Amino acid sequence: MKAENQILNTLFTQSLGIPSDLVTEDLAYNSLPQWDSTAHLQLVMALENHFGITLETEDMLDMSSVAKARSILEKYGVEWV
Amino acid sequence: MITTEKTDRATSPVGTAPAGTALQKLSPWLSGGGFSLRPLIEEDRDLVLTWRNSPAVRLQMVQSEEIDRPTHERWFERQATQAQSLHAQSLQLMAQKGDRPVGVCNLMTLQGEPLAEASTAEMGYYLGVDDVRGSLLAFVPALLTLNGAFEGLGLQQVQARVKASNLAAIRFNQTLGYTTVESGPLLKMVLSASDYRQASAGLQRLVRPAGNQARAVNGNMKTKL
Repeated sequence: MKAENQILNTLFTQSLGIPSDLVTEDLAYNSLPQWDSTAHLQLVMALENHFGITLETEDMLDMSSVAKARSILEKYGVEWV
Repeated sequence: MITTEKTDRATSPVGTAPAGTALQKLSPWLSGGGFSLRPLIEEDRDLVLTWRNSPAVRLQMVQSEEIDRPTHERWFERQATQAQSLHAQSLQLMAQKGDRPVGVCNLMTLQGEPLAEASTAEMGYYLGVDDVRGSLLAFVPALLTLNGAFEGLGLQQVQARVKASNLAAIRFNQTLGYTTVESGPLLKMVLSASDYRQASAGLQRLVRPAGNQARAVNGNMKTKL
């Protein structure tokens, strides 16, 4: 499945409730108060709904940064364009 | 009905609970996702007081003053004896990740009736360790407790009281299906069995054994071996 880079930024922005300019590859879990356990869950669900996938629990827990999310999604067949 | 697998009775983390007690009804539901819940034991006595008085926990409590040791001792003795009683009105459960205690969940009836016969109870929950508090894993002890409350005890409703300033807890509860029915400095949030089942359906994988997960790859569901 091909996906535009921008969609990841949008899903992070919406799920965490933060401005899009804060969503960088280095943005890490718990580095902002907004990225807490509940926001993390909302992010997981947003990614699953958008890409039509179901993440394994270990991948949900391992999604500790934007860059990590990108690489995990690649395991599920997402190709960035 | 929640489809999470119940713990085999023989391997229940609470051991052998007296028949008919709230603990016995809850026990098949008290482990999953690498976590387990069990009644308080002597070794928890000091740890629970330390957690309860830590700023991170205390300041979010309805009663946010520090608990002195004599008060804690009296409370702890009551809880330790209640767990095995048919008439227990409350149950304090230590959440463990593996063998490591990480927090406390509790259920308490509101009208003084035994928990084992109640239709409504209030739930409290706090984590004493930062690495779980800040993680998706924070949902696991809550899911285990609520699965047991609705499916084991057969409660119709679980309530929670949350400080209006505790936005993280409010959002956490809303994710589990709670709705706010009374506002003010202290919110009253309620959760029906049906709302919980609907809201938690996507979360139950967190408490399932790893081998029972499934994933979709390019839209095709594949069972993980």
